[in-house]
Amino acid sequence: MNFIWQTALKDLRRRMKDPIALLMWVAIPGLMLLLFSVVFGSGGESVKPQVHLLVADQDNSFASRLLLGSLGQGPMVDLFKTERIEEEEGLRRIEAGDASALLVIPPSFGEKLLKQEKTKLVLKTNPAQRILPGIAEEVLSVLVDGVFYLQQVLGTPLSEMVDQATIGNSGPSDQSIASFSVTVNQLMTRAETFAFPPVIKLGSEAKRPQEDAGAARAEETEKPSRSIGELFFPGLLFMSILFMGQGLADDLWRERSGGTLARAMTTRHSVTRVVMGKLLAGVVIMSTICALALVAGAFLYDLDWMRMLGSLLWAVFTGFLLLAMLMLIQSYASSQRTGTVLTSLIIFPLMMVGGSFFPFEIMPSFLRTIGRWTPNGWSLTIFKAILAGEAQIPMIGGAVVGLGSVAVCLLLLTARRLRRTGTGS
Amino acid sequence: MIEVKGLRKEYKEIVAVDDISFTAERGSIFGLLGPNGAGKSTTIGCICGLLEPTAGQVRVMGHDILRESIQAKSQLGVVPQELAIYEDLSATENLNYWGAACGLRRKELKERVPEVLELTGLQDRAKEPVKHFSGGMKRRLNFACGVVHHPAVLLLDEPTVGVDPQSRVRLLDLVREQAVAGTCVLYTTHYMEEAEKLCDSLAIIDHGKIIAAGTLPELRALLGERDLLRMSGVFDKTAVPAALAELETLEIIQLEDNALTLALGSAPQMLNRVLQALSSSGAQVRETTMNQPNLESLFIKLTGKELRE
Repeated sequence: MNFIWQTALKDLRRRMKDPIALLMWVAIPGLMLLLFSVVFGSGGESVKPQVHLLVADQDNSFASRLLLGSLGQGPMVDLFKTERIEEEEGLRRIEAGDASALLVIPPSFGEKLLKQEKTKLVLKTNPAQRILPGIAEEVLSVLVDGVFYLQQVLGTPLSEMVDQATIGNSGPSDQSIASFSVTVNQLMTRAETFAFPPVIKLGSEAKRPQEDAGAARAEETEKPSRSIGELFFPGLLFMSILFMGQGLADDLWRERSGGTLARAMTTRHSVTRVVMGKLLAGVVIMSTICALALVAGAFLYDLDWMRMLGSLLWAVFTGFLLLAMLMLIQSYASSQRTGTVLTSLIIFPLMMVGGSFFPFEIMPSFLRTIGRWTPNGWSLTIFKAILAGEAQIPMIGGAVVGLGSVAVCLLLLTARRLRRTGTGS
Repeated sequence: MIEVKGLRKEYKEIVAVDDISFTAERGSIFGLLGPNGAGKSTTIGCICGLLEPTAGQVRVMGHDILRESIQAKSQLGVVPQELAIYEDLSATENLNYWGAACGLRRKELKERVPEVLELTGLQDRAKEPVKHFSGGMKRRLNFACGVVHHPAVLLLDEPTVGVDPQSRVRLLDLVREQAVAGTCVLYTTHYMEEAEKLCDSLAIIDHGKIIAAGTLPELRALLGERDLLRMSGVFDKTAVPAALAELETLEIIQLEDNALTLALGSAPQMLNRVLQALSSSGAQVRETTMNQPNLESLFIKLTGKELRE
């Protein structure tokens, strides 16, 4: 154990003497993260485009207030910013490009609506804008339709209630409100049979395969609130792990060509210990870099601190496996250059498809399916599930045992190969 | 001590080492002398357990290198032909690592590392990264890493290749000190004068085979108590042997179209007769030098060729 630790310490010292190389492993993914964040915006907390709607309510009736009130409810709150204004002032501001649209509600709008007479809403849009006025037009069109159907269904009791409120100036009586409520309730009960059950059925049947359930739920629930940075962060962390794996495995050839591996093999220690020492150094480096990245991620993207340790352990375990695999490849390479080309040929496609360059969430479904079956893509899916608190612990435990055995086999194969090639170069 | 019996190493159809046997004792320097590609490094590789012999046996301090590799390797110190040090680490860090790899504990390292640094004259640059060292300094550190743990057996594979004359002298002194301290040293080289100055006993190796072995006087005796006469000029390969056949105690060591080497007793007295005989054969002698017999002349006598660089 002492020699393994001594070898690891020696490798760590060597790495510390070359901080630029260490930095390079995280610099590329870090720069990409920065670039994506700048290009696509910081994400969830960014300012969303809002329709600035000026309203000239010349009616000021129950119906006009109902129409405008609907713009201030639910998701409309984020989409619309309404401002009451006189028509002339509104026209002037639209011409000045100060708002997206001006809605003019004519006098007697409510009265004509209740009496089923023709009436007209006027929407003047800002010619300098294209998308936001279009949104205003579409939404108001739907709202007008809604008001029309409401008038068709509840027109009579509503008209009576409004009449009472207008005549007495004391508002509708308790009796008329109660009557209106009963009418609405009866209507809703009748409509329930046709309107609501399909929605409920759709919701209950939307099941997913068990193995993907965790990650899929995590994606679904996170989608609306996830920022670009948070979306790219796990994949780019794995990209960094892939770079680290390649760089650390490459050192095996440096030791071969430098003669130090052969010299180590003339000592009383087996070459297996040398390889174990190098793996241990790799694990320490990966742990440090991943821990720093996760802490940064926790601050930047509000990741759950309680899940940090689990996700760190999984990321490092992935890196350990990757390093063992790449070291075996390096041990079979005929030269350092061949080794670098071989490992590059492996890690770059894995990065592209395995969710490191592009998150699975924005991949076409066929590519996403392939990507999730790549070693790093599979591991990344579990990593995200751990971060989202959706990980299935027994499955992970089984994977650690199984893949740990694979890593041991890779290690022994690498040592065997190095022993057989002697000096190796 | 090192005992090598019937060592053979094959690489597919190439026989790198063919039935080599020798014994190197403690407190002495055993030299393996031969041209590049003769099989010296392969022999060292088999002795230190880096290569598995095709046949034969190697014992280090009584332990078989294959069957008791841990015990055998624990006695070994190896200084490879190529530099085998970490250039990004300092001399101290290198010595600490290789010392620990050879079984020294922290306390022993604390004492031994400064000692070895002083021995190799590297104490002033101990903390500096090795990549800033000169070639000679790197060679000295390469040597230091092989002796840091006081090995009972030290294998040196052409440690002076590419070293400046000053560093070479320093390194040879260091090797001698190791032998004086009781270490069994196996030293390979293709420099005849180095082997002559340094080694207590020698084996001359060519094409994987030992062609002569013994102490330096024993090897010299193979040539007899004769001087060596080297000539350059134009020589007829048929006429020259016929013309020299009448001269007693003379032996042709080497005959080329432009070079002739002769071994003969009382060369100063014989020189006139030799030149007359050569003149009668039509040879044109441009330059003549006379030497005492050495390993190079022995190598030429045994192989019919000069020791290649």
